[in-house]
Amino acid sequence: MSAFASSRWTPRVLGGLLSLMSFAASPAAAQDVLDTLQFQGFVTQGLVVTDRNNFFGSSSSGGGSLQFTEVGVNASIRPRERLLISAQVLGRRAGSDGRDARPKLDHGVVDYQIFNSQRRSVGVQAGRFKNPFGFYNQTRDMSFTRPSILLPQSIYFDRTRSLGLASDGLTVYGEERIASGTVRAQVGVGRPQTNEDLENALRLDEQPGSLDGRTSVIGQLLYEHDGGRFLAAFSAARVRARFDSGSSGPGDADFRFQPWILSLQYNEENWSLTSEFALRESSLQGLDFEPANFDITGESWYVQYSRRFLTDWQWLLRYDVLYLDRNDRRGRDFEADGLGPSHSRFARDLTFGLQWRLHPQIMVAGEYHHVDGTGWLPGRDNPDPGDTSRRWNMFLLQTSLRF
Amino acid sequence: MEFGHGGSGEGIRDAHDSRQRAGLPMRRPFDDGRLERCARMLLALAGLRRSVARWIRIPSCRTLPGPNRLRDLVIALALCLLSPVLLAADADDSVVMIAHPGVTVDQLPRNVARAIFGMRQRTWPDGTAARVFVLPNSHPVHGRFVKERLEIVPHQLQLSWDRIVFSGTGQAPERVQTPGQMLEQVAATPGGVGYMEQGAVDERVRIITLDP
Repeated sequence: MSAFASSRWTPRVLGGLLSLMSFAASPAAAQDVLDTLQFQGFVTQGLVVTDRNNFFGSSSSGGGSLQFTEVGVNASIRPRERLLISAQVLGRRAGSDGRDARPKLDHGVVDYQIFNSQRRSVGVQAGRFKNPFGFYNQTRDMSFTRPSILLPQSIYFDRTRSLGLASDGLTVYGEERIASGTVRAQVGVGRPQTNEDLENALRLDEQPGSLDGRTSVIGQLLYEHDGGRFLAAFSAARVRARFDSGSSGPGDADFRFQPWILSLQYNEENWSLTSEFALRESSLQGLDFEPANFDITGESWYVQYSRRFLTDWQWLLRYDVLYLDRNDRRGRDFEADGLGPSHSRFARDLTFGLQWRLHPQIMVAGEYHHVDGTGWLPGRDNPDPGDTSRRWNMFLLQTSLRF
Repeated sequence: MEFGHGGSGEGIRDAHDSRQRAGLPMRRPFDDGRLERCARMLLALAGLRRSVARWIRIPSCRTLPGPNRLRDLVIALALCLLSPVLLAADADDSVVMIAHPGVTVDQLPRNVARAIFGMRQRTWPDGTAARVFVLPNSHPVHGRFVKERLEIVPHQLQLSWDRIVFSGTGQAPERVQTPGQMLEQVAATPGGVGYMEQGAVDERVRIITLDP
């Protein structure tokens, strides 16, 4: 937690909140506003052990890797009935030297509900908003909202996570309550974040120049039937980034990423069946070295069954499939072109997980993955793709605390 | 649910619906799963006793007269048939939605109540802010309210709070530890809303009935 004491965001967030409180007119009103102030947070520590390949640090050597830590603090306040201000600072280490664990503003929004009736509500959020992407993206780093330690990597991959995480801009949301359920829609326009992970995945990290997000659009339509018994969602985005290399670099390039996700879930009191299917069109155009440019469509899907038992326990079984290029599912063309091993172009992951909520604020989880392919293996944990093994096993342990 | 939805159960359900329409307090001995739980528990106990007896070979159990399984079943059935009578005899313990007396609503569609307790609907129909109070997830009154009144799966509710809080789209409800605190808080907080057993409700709060 010492990381937070020195965080440059914490004083700023607190200062902002204090100044907001001060505009409440009377002491009584100020007290009412203060009553709405909430703080919540979480700490997660994981252990990753692999037999071959590395995931989140050097997991295949020694006793595994402890370089999987998530710490988040969240504050929110409602200065007016229709106004909500919410911010979250997140420090996350997933492999690497710990520099990435520096706390960052995960989201920071001013939310105003423009219209509100028994049937309908419409609102707008300005600031850094979380992208509504599939079922899990908006809270992907909060372990208590995840069904497993790792989200299905075919869709929520960690190797280019910065791109899909949050956008700086404006989003409009609406909710319509109909007789059978609720329809929700959200559309956002903003600038995505482009960190090293994306440069690494595009193999631009060693090149001179910088990759910057450009105005992007994201939207989700979600239907919730009968209080959440059945959920269906469709998410789509058009994300763009620009690589400016200067005269000595590999050339200026445009990166375009267009994912579509269909999400379905059925919930019973003691079990849930979830499935998501995604198509991802992505292209990089403009590099001087022609083979480095690409225009491919990837395909991902998973099916997940989770079952709750003995009130605090849950087990989960999932099969998760990723093809980076659906026209070259087995990666044969990729390997023939000398771009890397064929198994780096797909991944099929069979997962069994167990969760125990031994206390409302404490969760312990364990998970086993048997993976065929390295399609979602983070590049920075495995610098040489030629050194990776096609079939590998991974075991994870995780302890989480919320407050 | 074979007991709850069986022939005679329908008549009782209708009677309660008409009480609800008339704004009368409700009591639904058949509707809250207790009967089913009771039956299952008794049958399980009967089965367990038999297998334990067989396993450790207690002579007295083996020499009991008559076919044990049939006798256990008859006892279980008799108790279950009696249980509505027994259960109706205790205090009025159906769980109702309660609100601060300043809230100008007596009736709400169930999906609006779900949105309020799901922390997605932030205001009452008259525009005042809703302040939601909840008991711990493990509290039986919480479980019954969520399952029987809101008719949603309890773990889904906690998940939707977490998703709202940690995505910056809303706030968490306020926790109280006991039904007594629930009553105090809802009565003292303008816009306050919560739930409790009907028998424990007093005139400091307003009862809100839910339309299907």
